[in-house]
Amino acid sequence: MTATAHPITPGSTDTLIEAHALRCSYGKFEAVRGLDIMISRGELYALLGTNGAGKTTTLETLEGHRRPTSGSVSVFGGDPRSVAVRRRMGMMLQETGFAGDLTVLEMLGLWGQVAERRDNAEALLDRLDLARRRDVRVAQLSGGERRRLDLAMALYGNPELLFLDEPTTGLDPESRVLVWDLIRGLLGGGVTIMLTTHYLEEAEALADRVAIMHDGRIAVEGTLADLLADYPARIEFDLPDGIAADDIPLPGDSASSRGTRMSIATDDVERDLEVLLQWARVRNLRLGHLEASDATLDELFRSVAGGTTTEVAG
Amino acid sequence: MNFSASLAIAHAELRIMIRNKAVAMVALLVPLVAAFAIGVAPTPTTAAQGVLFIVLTGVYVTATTTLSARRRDLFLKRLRSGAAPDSSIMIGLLLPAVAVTCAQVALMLSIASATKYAMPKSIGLLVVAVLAGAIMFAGLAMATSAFTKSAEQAQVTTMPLAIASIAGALLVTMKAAADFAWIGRLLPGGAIVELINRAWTGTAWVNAWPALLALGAWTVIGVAVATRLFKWEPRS
Repeated sequence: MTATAHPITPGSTDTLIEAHALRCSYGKFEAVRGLDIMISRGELYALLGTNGAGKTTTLETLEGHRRPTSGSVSVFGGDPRSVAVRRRMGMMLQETGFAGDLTVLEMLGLWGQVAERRDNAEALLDRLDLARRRDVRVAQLSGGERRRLDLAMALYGNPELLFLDEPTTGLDPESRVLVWDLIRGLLGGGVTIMLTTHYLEEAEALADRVAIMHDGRIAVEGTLADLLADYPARIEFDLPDGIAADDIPLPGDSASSRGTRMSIATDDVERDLEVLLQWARVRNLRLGHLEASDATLDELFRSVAGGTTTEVAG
Repeated sequence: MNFSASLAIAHAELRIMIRNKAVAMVALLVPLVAAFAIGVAPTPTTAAQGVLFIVLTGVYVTATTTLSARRRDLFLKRLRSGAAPDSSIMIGLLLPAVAVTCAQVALMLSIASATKYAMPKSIGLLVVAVLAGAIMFAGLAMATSAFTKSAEQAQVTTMPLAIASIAGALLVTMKAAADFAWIGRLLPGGAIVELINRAWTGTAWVNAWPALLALGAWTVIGVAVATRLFKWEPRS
């Protein structure tokens, strides 16, 4: 299954990231097995997947941290390792280090020289709620503060393209909201973002397009609305006493039960809900904890992770 | 090449070095101890061995330790995610060790000459020996760090080359082993000691060609091996 909201023309100036038939191996282990990705200017593309699905390897290859075993990668129409391209992109790596004996401000100052970008470091620290820690050595920061410093370094100098690898992992809920707001602000300013995350609500809240990787390949890709439109909604309720799952007047192959909790997948939730309620009313039955909901990213993710979704990327 | 990035990294490394009291103390003590040794036995050989000791510990051991630690901490990966080319990053990381070593050699010689020891007759030969030695050991440090997972492990992985260098120095300078001086010259360290010895006696450059050739060869080997083996990340 695949769906693309904005058709992207390969090689167009609006395509910032382009990868074709991308394969990456560590020795005999093939972490990425033939990926095609195109990301256009100004969009937030969320790459999701289980642990070991190949997200970070994909991201690090697009960033230029590792060479693909085969296939092609182009960022801003060039090699992601080139100085001209690197100046235009910021990255927040999943795992990276700092010079622990430098202060927060010194670390940012060093980064400005290495990234070849200029910025107001103090204002940036203020945006990330790190201003009061500016003279503290990096080694003394908490995990969440380090993650925010990491983000500050990615944002330093207002790059046009951002790679954010699990940016909110390890952050408290308040900091997570701060980062989400910051990302929304960046998108409003036209920044293009490629994001990986384990928080599905983060992708739901921020992403223009979502891709779910499994076993080194992209299993599904598209806008959230398009992806979920192909997935059934769900009606759930507690089975009344004396009623078996087989008694329910809806297609049996779409129903499943766990204990007394009944779950029915449906393409037409209103029609099936009406049938179900009519059936219960005639028999004077009460359907406890009745819930009807659209498909969620969580369900889609679990179906991909469980291998029940056909893969699309070759 | 991005020199401002190199200088910024070098400045940061120097800052880290100074903030680490133990490292700063050792950096100051090493030339003092070497100068004291020269004071006890004021011969060109002692001076040459003192310089070799400083370059060996100051560049080779320090750079191997620094690179291994920075790679393990993923700081090298961080630096590599900017716009600076690899060569600029590497120069920035190695520059403080080389600069501090040169300062240590200068300090040692200043102290020694202020007492009862004469300065070398050929300063040029001395400068070449120290700088080429520093570059050679910096390259070999990059190569050695490829086999070194942590700063602690560097104490072990630097041993073989350090021993070979000291052996080379002894073979070149010991009269009893004069027949084996050529072997000493083939080992890293031997050529440095021979050149420094010649710097004191004032040998003409043309007569120092075997040692210059050996030092040049080791420098090329060091840089070539480093280029081939160096790793920027623990997993690569």
